[in-house]
Formats: sequence, C-alpha cells, structure tokens
Amino acid sequence: MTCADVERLADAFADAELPAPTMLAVARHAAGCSTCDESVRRLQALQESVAQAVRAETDALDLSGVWPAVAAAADRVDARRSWSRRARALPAALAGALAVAAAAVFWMQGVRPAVESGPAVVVSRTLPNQAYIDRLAGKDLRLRREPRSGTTIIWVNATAGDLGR
Amino acid sequence: MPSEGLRAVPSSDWELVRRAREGDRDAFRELVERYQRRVASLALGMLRSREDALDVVQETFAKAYQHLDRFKGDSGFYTWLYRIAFNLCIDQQRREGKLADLRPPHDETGSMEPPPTVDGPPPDEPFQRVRSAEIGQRLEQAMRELTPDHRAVILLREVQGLSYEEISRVLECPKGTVMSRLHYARRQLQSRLRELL
Ligand SMILES: [Zn+2]
Repeated sequence: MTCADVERLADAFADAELPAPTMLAVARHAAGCSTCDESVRRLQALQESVAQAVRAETDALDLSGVWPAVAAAADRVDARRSWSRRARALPAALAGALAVAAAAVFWMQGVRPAVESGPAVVVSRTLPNQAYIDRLAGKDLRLRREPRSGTTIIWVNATAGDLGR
Repeated sequence: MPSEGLRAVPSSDWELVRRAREGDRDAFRELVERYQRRVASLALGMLRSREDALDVVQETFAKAYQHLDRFKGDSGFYTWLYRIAFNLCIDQQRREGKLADLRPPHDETGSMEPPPTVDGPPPDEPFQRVRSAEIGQRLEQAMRELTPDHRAVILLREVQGLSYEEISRVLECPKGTVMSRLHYARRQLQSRLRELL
C-alpha cells in the first residue's frame, strides 16, 4: 500500500466501503504515514462538519404541519380512488340498462325521427313506449341527442341493484 | 418476558407499507413520522429554503401514498422516499429556473448554525476539532456552489449515511458515478474550507 493508493482509496476508506483486508491495509499505512493519516482525518472532519451543520439546521425545522397536509392529500387520493372504483363497477350493470334504453330510443326514432335538437324530453311525448320510458325515468333517466352526429346520450343514475330489478 | 420484548419492537417499514396499502392510515402516519425529518434534511440541503423544503416533504409523502403499490420492497423504503424527494427537488429548482442554484440565502433560512455541542461527539473523539460559525458559513456557501447532483451525493452520504449502492439507487446512476461525484464534491468543499478543517 503506497501513499498514492491511499489517496485513491481515501474516500471509500472514510466511508467504510472497502473490503475488510483493504480497510486494514489502508489503516496500517495511515498509522505509519503522517501525510496519509492527515488526509484521512481531514476527510472525516469534513464529513462530521457537513453532517452536523445540516442536522442542526434540520432540527430547527417545524414539521408539525407535515402530517395534516399529507393526510389531506391522502384523503383526496382515496376520494379519487373510490370514485374510479365506482365508475369501474358501474358499467357492467349500466350496460344492460343502456342497451334497453338505447333500443327504446332507436325504436322511437324509427317511429318518429323528429327528436332533433336540444335536450329531447322523450317522456313528455305520448308514445307507445311511454310506460317503459317512465319506469326508467323514475330512476332518474335523462336523454340528450347530439344534433350533428345524431348520437343519443343517455344518463342513468341508478345503483346496480336497482338496474338489476 | 419475550412477549414484552416482541411488543417493544417497532413495526418494520415493509409491515407498515403493507398495512398502509390496506387502508391503515395510522400505519402510513407512522412512516411519515419515522422519515419526515430525514426527507426534510435532504430537501433543505438541496433547496436551501425552509418553505420550499417543507413543500417537498409534504409532496414526497403525498406521492408516496398515492404510489405505494409501486414500492416493491427490493430496496429500503427510505431509499424509495429519497428518490421521490430528490426528483421533486430537481423539479422545484427547474420550475424556478435555478438548477445552478446560486441564489442568496433567504432571510428565514439564514446560514447554517454551528453544530450544537450537545449532539456532537464526545470531546475525546479523535477527529473532534474546534468548529466555529465560520466553518458553518463557509460550508453553507461551498454547498451552494456544488451542482445539485454533487450536493445530493454529499447529503445522502454524509447526512443520511447511505451506502454507495443505496445512493446509486436514489440517484439512478452507477455506483462508479456516485464514487466519482463524491470524490469531486468533497475536494470542492475541502478547497473552500482549506484552512478551517
Ligand atoms: Zn502515505
């Protein structure tokens, strides 16, 4: 182990990141070489100074507000998750209801293609399927026809249990 | 009594993470309280502003909560946290357009205080030196002049006590890069503190 070796290994030695035999070899060299001993000590003094300075500064920080802020953020995350779980759970039940409602709409369009623009208040018409639409409307059903595309959008606000009935 | 001994053992990070994933908010709170000061010291060391550092601490844990299922447990929980915090610090500096971060200190931040004697090593420690406010101030300035990558490697090693391997995971760079950055950063600091240390 030469002075040049120690110089090269000094950081890893100070960090105890060398294999045990190399640690020992550096220590032995430094014990008998004042230059290398001084070099290693200066490195360790720097480490101590940085650690203590930053720790003292951090100890002065008031962290009492951290958890309340994190808890509030966690609440928002949970709320989003719960919403998206419900949104994922709904389609299966909703699909059946939408299919029925869409079939009703197409049937109505075939009979009377005059559902033209603006919110189509289907339930106000006197049509053969009135009773059926009314039953769906009772579960808070809304229809809206997109004039340009001709798409009919149906909102159904109902739980899976209700739709299953 | 063995049962009392077992009860006294604090839950492992992994156990707390597992419980937090199952919706145990107290478990997550324990993780926050366990690591908030360490994350704060990294953020404060990186950003040199108490206000920004506190923002980063809160955001780090909020992100950790949100992405808890991404923590695989193949490295320490704190390593994972530090990676989130480090990236947030870089984002913060980028947002403020000061990646070089040579801004003057905030009044509220002040300069690094001299180390408290109560927490220092006992007087017979071989490396115990007389430390003055001047060392603190010079160190503060010297840290400021390091690039964020060099500052991070110093903070993670000297303050957090991470191994080279852990630092390489936090900074997502090879271990050799960690070693060369550490060597360079220390020589920079030493050259600024030449007569003092
Ligand atoms: Zn030597």
